[in-house]
Amino acid sequence: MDPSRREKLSDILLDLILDSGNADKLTPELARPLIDAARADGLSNKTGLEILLEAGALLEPEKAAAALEAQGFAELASELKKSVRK
Amino acid sequence: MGLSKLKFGVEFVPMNPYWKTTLLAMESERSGFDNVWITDHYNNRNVYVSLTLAALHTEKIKLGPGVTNPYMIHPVMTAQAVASLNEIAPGRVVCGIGVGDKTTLGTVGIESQTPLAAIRDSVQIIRDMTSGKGSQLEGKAFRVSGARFFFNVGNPIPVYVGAQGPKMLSLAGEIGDGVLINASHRRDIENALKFVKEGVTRGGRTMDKVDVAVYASFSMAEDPAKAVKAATPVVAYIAAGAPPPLLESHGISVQAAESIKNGIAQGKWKEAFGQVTSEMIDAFSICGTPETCLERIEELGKIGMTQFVAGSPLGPKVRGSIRTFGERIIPSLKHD
Repeated sequence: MDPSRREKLSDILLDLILDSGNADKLTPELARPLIDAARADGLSNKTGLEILLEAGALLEPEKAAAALEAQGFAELASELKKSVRK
Repeated sequence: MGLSKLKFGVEFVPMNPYWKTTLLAMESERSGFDNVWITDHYNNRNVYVSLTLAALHTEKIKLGPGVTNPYMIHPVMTAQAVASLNEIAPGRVVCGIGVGDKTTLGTVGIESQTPLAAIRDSVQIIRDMTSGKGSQLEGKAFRVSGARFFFNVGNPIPVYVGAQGPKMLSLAGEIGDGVLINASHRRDIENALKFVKEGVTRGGRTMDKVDVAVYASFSMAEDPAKAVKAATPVVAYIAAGAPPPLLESHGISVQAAESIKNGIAQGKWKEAFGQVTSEMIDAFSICGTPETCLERIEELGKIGMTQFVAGSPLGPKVRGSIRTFGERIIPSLKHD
């Protein structure tokens, strides 16, 4: 994935979780690496995006899947939907 | 003072989980804000836990309670908390103190008695304790005899006084390293500044020794209707609690504000918020597009404000507002 797409996706997912009404659902196990990744400016690298996706799936699964689809990551959106159903 | 020296602060309310406040504090630092102020109410998450995390994950932004109160927390404990925070973020800690919210204090049976004396004594105690010399005070509100820390505080911690009424504004001018003026409208700030200046003169000081911070309800969005929608609940609370002379000075009906107050008291939020008018939004918030907000902040800078604190709600998208503020407002004013 090219860096500009990564950054855009990272931005969208971060806004999604910050604006979520389900913020309390984020576990400390996920909150800590999220803060660490943000501190290291690493939210758009592979690990950072994984954390954001996991957080998005937990807080706003439908919106996160829709955001992935809108950004052209249909396969990833489908996987996210499957994991949420489990 | 040229506006290039204007400082910018942002207020966070720790009703949000700690991770959110921490991320937003980091975003604020990256966006060029100078200060993060975190509110202190027992019914939200603890202010010092929130500040500690923000301090650990930022490098240069100043931070502190904005504001704590001396009724719920004894000033020696406030001094201890800010002094401890200063170990984590040396030279970056500030302390805002005010009389607190009567309604919230009332729920735990605390009355905010002798507010002027309580703030005067508290500022003295916090200063003495954090300076390392310890506190010996026979005040009208607090008595402290030989209180001292068993640790050193590396640097002085500026104490800001949260103020709205004439006497508290004047006291802030007399003794505060800064004043946090709770208002948004130019006319109210001009009025407040008269009292701050009175206090400055009484204290034998000069205005350049006081950071004049305007702590305003702020809501910014490209679509002004969205900014208004986000500001409405906050403005409803402000209007409901505003004294009649203030309402009248803005051409707002006292009855209308009373009706909002009743709606809030009865939990009829939709009804209460539905009564918020454009006059109330204009009087009690800085709200609108980035251009509108910039104009309003700039005019406050020109009349003597030295720090603008963007208070809740910031906008419909909080992180977006912080970034836009950093991209469009701070550079425009710092450039002057």
